[in-house]
Amino acid sequence: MSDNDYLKDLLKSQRMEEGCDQLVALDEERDKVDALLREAFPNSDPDFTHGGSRAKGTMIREDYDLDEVCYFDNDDTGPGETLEEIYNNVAEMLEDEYIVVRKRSALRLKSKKGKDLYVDIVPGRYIDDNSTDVFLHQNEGDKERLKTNLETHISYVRDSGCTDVIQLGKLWRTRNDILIRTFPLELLIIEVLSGDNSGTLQERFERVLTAFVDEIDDIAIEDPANPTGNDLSFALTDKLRNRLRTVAEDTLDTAGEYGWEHVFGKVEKKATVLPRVAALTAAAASVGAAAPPWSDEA
Amino acid sequence: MERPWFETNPAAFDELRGILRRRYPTLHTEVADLKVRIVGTFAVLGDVELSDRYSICVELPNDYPRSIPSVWETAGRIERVIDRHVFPRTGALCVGVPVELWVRLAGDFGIVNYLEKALRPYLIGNSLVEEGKPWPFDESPHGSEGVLEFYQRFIGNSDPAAVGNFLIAILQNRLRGHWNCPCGSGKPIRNCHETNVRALRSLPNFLLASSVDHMISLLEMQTARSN
Ligand SMILES: [Zn+2]
Repeated sequence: MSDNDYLKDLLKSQRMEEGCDQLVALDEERDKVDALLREAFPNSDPDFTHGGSRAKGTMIREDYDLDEVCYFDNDDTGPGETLEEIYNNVAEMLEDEYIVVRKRSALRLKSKKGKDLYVDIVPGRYIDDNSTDVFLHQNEGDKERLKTNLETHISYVRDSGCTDVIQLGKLWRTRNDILIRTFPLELLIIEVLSGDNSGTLQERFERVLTAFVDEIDDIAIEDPANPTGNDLSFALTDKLRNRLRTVAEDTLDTAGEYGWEHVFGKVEKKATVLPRVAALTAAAASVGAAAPPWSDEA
Repeated sequence: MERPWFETNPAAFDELRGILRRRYPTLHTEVADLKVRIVGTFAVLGDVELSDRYSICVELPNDYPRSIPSVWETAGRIERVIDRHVFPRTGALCVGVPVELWVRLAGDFGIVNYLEKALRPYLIGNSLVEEGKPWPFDESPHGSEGVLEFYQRFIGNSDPAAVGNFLIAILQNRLRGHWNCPCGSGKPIRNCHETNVRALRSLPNFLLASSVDHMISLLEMQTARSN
């Protein structure tokens, strides 16, 4: 099998089909939050809909979550007067059912037992009656609010012609534990390929990694929904650029030396998949005796 | 200031990077503050259908590969509590009693040996505990008790005074093969726990000395309790 065929198979193995367990679980949580919102804010009629990779067509099995935006009407004060109040009121409402982790603009849901549910809720408010632009509250950074547009984001990525490379890039990011968020990664990939998006999946992915090695410091990204207004520099620090460069270099070297299958591992499906505990137990048996873990503090 | 190992021995550093490319393509070296850290994910289960990866950072010691590296789980998956075998102060994982790690890895803390023989079992154990299963290997008590328990398993003696004196004899190079075995069998060492005793004799002095300190603090606790 050629490297390019391998990479295409790899993406196929990462695809999340409608109806798979993970998506069903996400949808159940989504519907639960939807009902909670309607109950808590009976006089509001927020747009509660998919954002993120589900809408963009870039979900992968090994790194997925559900971004649900919850946008209130411009003149709706039911959920709060200010953006910050909306953010906090939605968070507090969700805290009856979930552990809520307050991120920059999103609220991450965990079960009360602490299990991550892979669901982010993004509260916001339309800037006026006619536009699809919204303001989001920002917990961090110097600006308290952020103007953005979900539809612009979705179509920018979904229609970029790069969603396959983006999926591969996300897998690469996750496997190598590179702490770049999805949106800046998508923007970087689209920016690199905007010059030349020709060739096979392998050629295009290698083009992206080569650009990370050679010119990561010079690649600028901007928010397509607000090119001059939203500073994305926080999302791409020097440390992160360095990490992208070194991991991209290692990855290209490894792929050159051993091929792409060595980088991402075999994808053919086993005839029988062991249950998780059985697989771990077998793994424990195969390492033989182990030094018992310990701590020097009693 | 002494130059770090990866500068004095660039060939060893290249070799390390070559090993990572060949065996662990999702782990990468990161050089900062005169230290080499290995950062990325480590797969306990590597199938697409059944994947279990840990985000880790392994900090190599300045005398790599001679001393024990430190390791962190960096995604907040393992709770920072002593019962999950994490040093609460630093957040580093306690993958084993240092003397025991030394013995099991025969003093070779090269990256492959360390990841396969020290870290992998620990992480597999953690994944099983997450699934509600018991720890699949032996588990040491914390602190000095854990060190004593190692000697109990290894040379069959659980009396801190006897273990301490035995280790001091090794430190002072007084130990002889015709001595009675520390396990109390009455047989000479050379006909009993000879291999294990030889492994202890190969330990660096600082580790033996630290074990002696642990035995002394156990004796102090015993005395305090009986008073
Ligand atoms: Zn014996």
